[in-house]
Parts: sequence; structure tokens; C-alpha cells
Amino acid sequence: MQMLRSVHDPVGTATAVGFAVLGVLLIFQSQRMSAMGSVFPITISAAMTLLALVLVIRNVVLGLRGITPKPASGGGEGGVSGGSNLRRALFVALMAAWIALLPILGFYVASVIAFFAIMIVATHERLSPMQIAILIALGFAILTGFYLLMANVLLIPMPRGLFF
Amino acid sequence: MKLTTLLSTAALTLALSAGAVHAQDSSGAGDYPSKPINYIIPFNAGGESDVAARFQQPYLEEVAGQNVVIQYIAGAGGAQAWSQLNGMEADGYTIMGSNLPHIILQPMAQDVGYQTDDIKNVYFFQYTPDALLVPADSQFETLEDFVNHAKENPGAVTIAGSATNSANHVAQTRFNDLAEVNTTYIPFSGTSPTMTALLGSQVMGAFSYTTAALNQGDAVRVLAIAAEERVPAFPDVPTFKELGYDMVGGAYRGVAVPTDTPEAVQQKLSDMLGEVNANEEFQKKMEDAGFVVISVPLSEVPDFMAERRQAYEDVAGLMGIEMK
Amino acid sequence: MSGKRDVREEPATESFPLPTHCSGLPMEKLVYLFDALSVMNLVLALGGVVAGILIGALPGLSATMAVAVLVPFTFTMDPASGLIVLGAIYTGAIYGGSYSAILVNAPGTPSAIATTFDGFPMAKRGDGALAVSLATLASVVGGLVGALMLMFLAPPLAQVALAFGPPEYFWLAVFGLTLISALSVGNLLKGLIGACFGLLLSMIGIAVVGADVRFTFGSQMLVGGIDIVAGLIGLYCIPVLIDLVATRDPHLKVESDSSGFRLGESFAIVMRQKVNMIRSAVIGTVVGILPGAGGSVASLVSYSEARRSSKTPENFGKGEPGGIIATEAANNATVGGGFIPTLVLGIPGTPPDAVILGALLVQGIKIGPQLFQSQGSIVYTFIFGLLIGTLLMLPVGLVVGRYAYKSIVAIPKSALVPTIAFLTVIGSFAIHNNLHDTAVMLTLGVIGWVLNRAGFTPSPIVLGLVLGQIAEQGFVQAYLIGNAQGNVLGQFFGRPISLAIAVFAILTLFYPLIAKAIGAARARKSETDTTVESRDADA
Repeated sequence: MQMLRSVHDPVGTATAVGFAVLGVLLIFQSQRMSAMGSVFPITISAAMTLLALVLVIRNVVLGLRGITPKPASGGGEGGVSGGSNLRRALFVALMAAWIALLPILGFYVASVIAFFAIMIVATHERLSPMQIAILIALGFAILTGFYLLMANVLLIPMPRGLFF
Repeated sequence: MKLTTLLSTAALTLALSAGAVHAQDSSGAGDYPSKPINYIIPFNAGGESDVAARFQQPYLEEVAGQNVVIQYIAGAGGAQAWSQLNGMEADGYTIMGSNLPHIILQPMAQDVGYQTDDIKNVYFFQYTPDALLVPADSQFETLEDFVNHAKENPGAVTIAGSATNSANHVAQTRFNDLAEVNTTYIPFSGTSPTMTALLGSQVMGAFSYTTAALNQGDAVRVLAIAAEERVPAFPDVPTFKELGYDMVGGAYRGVAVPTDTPEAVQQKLSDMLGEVNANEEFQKKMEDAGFVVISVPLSEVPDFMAERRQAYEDVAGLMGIEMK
Repeated sequence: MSGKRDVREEPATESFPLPTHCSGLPMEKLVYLFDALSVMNLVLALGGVVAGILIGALPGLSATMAVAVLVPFTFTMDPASGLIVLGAIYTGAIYGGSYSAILVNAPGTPSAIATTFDGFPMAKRGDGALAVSLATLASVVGGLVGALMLMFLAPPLAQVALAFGPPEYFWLAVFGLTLISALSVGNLLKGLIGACFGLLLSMIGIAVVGADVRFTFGSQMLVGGIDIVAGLIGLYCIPVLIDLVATRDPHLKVESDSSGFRLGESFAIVMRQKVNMIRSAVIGTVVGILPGAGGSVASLVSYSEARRSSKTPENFGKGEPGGIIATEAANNATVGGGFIPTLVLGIPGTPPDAVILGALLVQGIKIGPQLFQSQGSIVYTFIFGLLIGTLLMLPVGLVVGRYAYKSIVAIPKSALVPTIAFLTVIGSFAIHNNLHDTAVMLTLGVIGWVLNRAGFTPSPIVLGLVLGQIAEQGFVQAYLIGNAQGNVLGQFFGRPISLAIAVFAILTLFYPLIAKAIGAARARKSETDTTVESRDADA
């Protein structure tokens, strides 16, 4: 048990290692740029690497001294922990699929499919047929309304695919 | 079964990258235009490209007998839109603003997702000549003052402009070359920051366009303009040519279509734009705003492009753009 | 300088009352007020405000877009009416951005970034109606201050825009970045790392100076850079959605008494915060004057100032009403402020101003130093129109805001999640009518969620993304100019305004540390006790 806790804030430390690696990578990338174009990237990448390393060292030292992390979300911006990670993953996958399908199926059709798929993922309770009917009507109203607003009022060129 | 058909069709569309599939009616112009034309501006609203298109809009609508809808796809100095052009419907109802030197210099300097030859230009209708500006209270009264000062203080004269490898940058580089001076180019993120820096005397001069100079009125002094003849909006300002520098240039703006657009439609479009350009009222409005109206119809576009390309390639070497 | 000053200050001197002449300018101005008050113009202003609020509230649908779309319609109106509609839409859209910032943690416009800091925490704990009312009052006051300064002080204030050179922009951005220390109390290191990450994100794409293609990793998608709005929607909105689908819990707490606007309470808070509000409005106007800075910088700077001067800085970021007041007063003040360089110098202060300027050009109205005299009727009718539009925001905003709040609370999660998701997709697409931005938005959103899990909050990243370009361009331009003049240090430290901003930046940066040091000294005793305890456990 003590061994597991040997690093203070393991997730944050691992991420910091990632940032340090990214910083080094970007410093190498910046070598190919012109003098004026590279001064900021190199400075900031170096600063990020340095700060990340300081964080890692600090966490390791704190870990060795056995100080456990304070509960997160001190700034009021922390995420919600717990809940279904499967739903989270499904949501992200559906969003990605939505964006990928927009140019293929067309804006409206892709959005209808993705909208209701995400609706299923976000629904936690069993719904009565009446509620389902209301949700479907609401969904189509929102989708159609915004589509018309974008395409015909704001004159945005919408991605068109097989359908519209 | 239906699903597999759907998926394979989708995959096919993806593979053929939209454009080719949508090509239709390659026989002739037919009744073109028979529905509204979408005119895409590859820059933000409010810029020179937008203003010029807004001037064209009512006259083009009259000639075409259809609505002309102006839309914007801005980003990466226009590259965002131009790299998408050939994926759009090639039926003549999607047309896009096209700018020089952008479409020549951008692909020359880096991979921006399109090549100059990918852009099918049907007409060039105007350009905004480069203008060398100084603040109204500047010590430089004439171009000669400016050049002399620059010769005495190599590197110390700062000239602002919009972005790197842009029309302004080309003008500054060419000016350095022709006047045999060494000025320092300070790139800003657009015309407004450039003009702000100039009016605030943060820089000694700026290369911009006649249109921008006009907006600032008495606050700036125009030393010279890179046009063939004096620009009507600035009757008292000499051209670089008059002063002995062979410098004519600026940002040229035209209209392009996806490459697969039928020849006949391209020709019809070129004719319509020519008709707009011939309208005296349109010319007057454009000239009052500092634009110079030129007419390069479809048949003359290849020669025009070749000539401009040669000019920019010469300067590109000076600017240190590595040719690929 | 002198030659220019002559031209600019003429209108200012003219606005002194001319006692013997009955058509002194103040009188004339009142005439324009009656012009602006025509029934037609009032209806147009009302319609403009409502449309603006709705468009502004949707992330990605920006004030610029709303204004650009309306431009062709205004060609058929007389110029003054056209301008009134454009001004009303613009001011409504900037205000509308606060709704989505407060209710779904997604700033509807970049101007509302800082509104999320306190607005969303307030909404989460059930004070959404109060937050919306506060935002409305602050927006109206900020908008009025900006418009009044436009009316009375435009020519001299336009000089401010000219006094700001590259070094001042650099220091202004640095000042904005000092907010990181305030936003990451408890873990400054993580905040700083996040800010560096955000700064690096801002460098992606073709550089303005030098034209290098940076950090695109060969991807076409990234050549245009990461759009700030796409970044905002992704970093703020997607993580909220990801967590929203995971649990049964409702999005916002429902108040026991959700019937009222809580106007009385809002007024009381606003009265307590009047110094903060006026100061923020003035900061907003001044920053709005600077082309290229805009509402996002204005609201961040005034938020930073509000926090620094507050007696309870530790509450900021946890739902402090003063934070909302500061940002909303500031960002609506930028509307009036932005018109100052637009109308006086012919240099658009913000992107929507550029569109309006273009519209004026097409109508054949010559902008520039002469405008206030030659086209006084149009200019003053427009300013009165802006004032009226701003005042109309109060009733319209309260009503619309209440419905927005109620529907966000009432709508079942099953419908809320796909709706917000749909808005993120269309919003990020609509920025440049490009799906690349949408893909970038989602990617950043997922990265943001992961980083938030590891304790790297999104706000420092967003700060870096928003301010990176301004800081970098200012720095490199100042360096190039200094180098040409042989005086690089003089560029950065030899100019009074940049020195003043630098001092403020340092003050703001260390203020929380000083405050913390005092607090820490008090708490030291108990802390040492726990350290000793854990050491014992280790041994």
C-alpha cells in the first residue's frame, strides 16, 4: 500500500511527464523554423518542459515524504468523478462519428442519426412511449430549426453529401 | 442489404472525394444561371475582397437575373477556402473569390493543400495597387526623401505590412530591390493593425493598398502608388513608374470555379462578369473606393497568370522563399 | 504628432456649447435623438437586440456573422436605420454570449470566456437566475458607458489606439496571462504548464511573422491554426457533456424558488459592486479601442483587476458575483469602445466593426476623421441607436434569460445532451464554415477532459490560446522595430504605457502570492503538525 502511494498525485505526475516529452519534441520541431518564427515556440516549449519536470520532482519528493494529495477540484472546475465510463466513451465515439459522417451523409441526415444516438446514450431511465414521442418531436424540431436558421437565414454553406 | 448499399455508396463518395461525382451537365451552359449563385469569399467579411464583391453583387444579380449570395470561408490567408474549392459542386453555382499573389505565393512557399493550377480562374476584375504610406506628420514629404533616408540608414527604416509572403511583403521586397535600399519589414496580422501602427508612428512607413489609404484620409500621406497610371481617387499622388521605379502591382482579385465546371458555364460566367465590369456606374463606385478596375476575361487568364507568376517568382527568390 | 492631432480634436472642440448659436452641437445631438426614437428605428433596435441575443447565446454563431448576414438588408434602409440595426445586433450578441457561459459553461462568444469562471459555478449551485440578472445589469451599464464614451470622448480616446504599439500589446497580453496565478490557486505549477500548452496551441499554423508553418505535424487541418472559438467550445463544453452523459444527476441544481429574476438581490449586489462595475466598463472601453485586442482581452483584464482589488479574492472562480459583473460590464463596453477607432480613424476595433465599416463603404459613406462633422447626423443617430439598443437589453435580456434558464433546467437530460452536442458541432463548423474546426473542437475537448482529470484545468489553457498570438506578435514586432532602431530594450522598457502595464502585471502576478503568504503564515502551525504526522506514518 505504501508502495502504491509512493508518488503524490500519480495521474498528474504522469501527465506532467507527457508534457515534458511534448516540450522536448516541440523544441526539436522548432529548430527548422526561421529565427523570428522559432523564438516563442522554443521559449515556451522549454518553459513547459522545465515546469513539468519541476512538478514531477516535487510530486516524487512529496510522495517519498508520504504526503497524500488533497482532494481535487480546488478551483471549482474539476470534473465529475464516477458514473459510467462506457457512456463517456460511447459519447465521444458518437461525436467523432458525427463529424466524420457530416460530409458523407450530408449535414441534416448525419445530424439526425447522431442526435438520437447520443440521446440514447444520455438517457438513464426507462421512458414511456409518450415521453419517447415527445423527445423525438423535440429533437426534430431543434434539428430542423437550426438547419433552416443556418442554411437559409445565416447563409452558411452547409456540408452536403449523399443527402442534405 | 440496404445498409451495405448505403455504406458502400458512402465509401465510394469518400473515395471519389465529392467533386467528380457531382459534375453534371457538361454539354453546355444551357439555361445557366437558373438558380441563385453562391459567391464564396475566402476572407473575413469587411475586407477588400468582401467590399469588392459587395459592389459586384447588385450588378451581377441584374446581369444574371438570379440572386447572388455572398458567403465566407476564411482562414489561413485564404488557403482554407481554396484547398476546398475543387471539392465543391462544379455546376457554376458555386464561385469563389481568387486573389493574387496569394494563390501563387502560398503553394510556392509551403504545402497549403492546393496548387496554383488547381484554381480555375475565370475572370480577374480589379486590383488594389500597392501604395507606400507614411503618417501625415512624417518627415518624408516625397518618395525621394524616403529613399534617401533609407540609403543613409540601412536597415533602420521600418515598413509595416500585412503578413509575411503577402502582397505587401512582395511590394516591400521589390521596392528594396528597385530603390537599392535596405528597409526592415514588420509584418502585422492584418490591414487594421498595420494602419494603427502607421498612424501611431510605431513604424516609419507602411505598404498597403490604395483602398486602405483612402479610409485614413488626411491622417496618412501617400508617397507613391504602384499602378500603371495615376489612380482617380488620388489624382495628386505620383506612380512609382513616374518616379523611375518600374513597379506595378498589388492584390489582384478575380473569380474562380471548381476545375470540373463545364467550359460553357465558365465562359458564360466570364461574360457576365465582363458585363458587370463594363457598367460605368459600377466602375465609378469601385474607383471612388480606391479600386482599379481591370478586365481579364477567361481567354486571357492563362497569359495573365503566366505573367504574374513570372513576376512573383522573381520576387520570391529575393524574399527567400525556397522554390519546390 | 501635431499635424494629426489638429484633425482629430476638431470635433471635440466643436462639442463645447456655442451659446450664441442656436444650432450648437448638443442641441443638434438631441435632434438626432428624436431621429433615433422614431417608431421604425425602435422596432428595428428591438428586433436587432433580440436577434443578437439569440445568435450570441449559441456558441460559434458570432456577432460578426450576425452583422455580416444583415448587411445586405441594411442597404435597402436609410443609412442611420441600417446602422442602428447593426449596432443593436452587435451589442445583443456580445451580451447573449453570457447565457451559454453561465448555463452550460460554454462561452457563446470569446468575450464571455471569463463569465464562465464564476457564472457556471453559480448556476451549478442553483443561482443561475441571479447570475443571468447580474450579467444583464452589468452588460447594460457597460454598454451605456461604452456608448457614452463613444459619444463624448471619441476623438481623444482614438489617440489611445495609436499610442499602443507592439510592446504595449505584448505587455497587455502578459497582463492577461498573469490571471493564471489567480485561476490556479492551489496548483500554480499545473496552471503554468497548462498556460504553456495553450500558448503552444496558439502557435499552430502559418505564423504571421516569418510565415513558418508551425506544429502542424503535416496535417492540412492545422495549417489555418486552432481557432479560438473552436478551442473554447471544445475545452469548456465537451468535458461538461462527457460528464453529463455519465451520471443520472441533473445538469443544474433547481432552485427552490425559481420563479423570479431575483432582481432586487441583483440590484443590491450591483450597488455594492458599483466601483468594480464602472472600472470594468472603463477598462472594457479602452481595451475595445485597441484593434486586435477585443472583448476577450477586455473581460480577462477587468476580471483580473476585479479579483486583485476584491476583499475576497479567494471566492473568484467559485461563483463570485463580482466576477460576472466585471466581465459582462467590460465586454459590452467594448462595443462602444470598438466603434471609436472605427468611426474616428477608419480602423475597425473589432471584427464586427470591420463588417460595419465595409457596409458603410459600400453605401458610399466616407469613414475617417471627417466623419463626425461631414456625416454628423448619421453618426449621432447611430450612437443614440446604440444607447437605445443597450437599454432595451434590460427588459429583453431579463425575459429571454429567464426562459433560457428555465428551459435549461426543465429540459430532460436525454434531450439536453444531444442539443448541446449539436450546438457544439454547428457552432464550431460555422466559425469558418469548415469541418476542420469541428474536428479540432472535439479533439481539444477530449484532451481537455483528460487533462482536467489530471488536475490541469481548462482556463489557463484557454488563456494561453487567446493571448498567445497577441503576445508573440507584439514581442516579435517590438523586437524587429527595436532592432532596426538599435534600441531593443527601449522598445520593451522605455515606453511609459508599456512600463505601466508591466508594473500592473507584476503586481497582479504577485498579489495572490503575497496574500497567500500572509494566510500561510497564519496557518503554518497546524500545517507543520500534519507534516510531522505523515512523516511518522512513513517511518
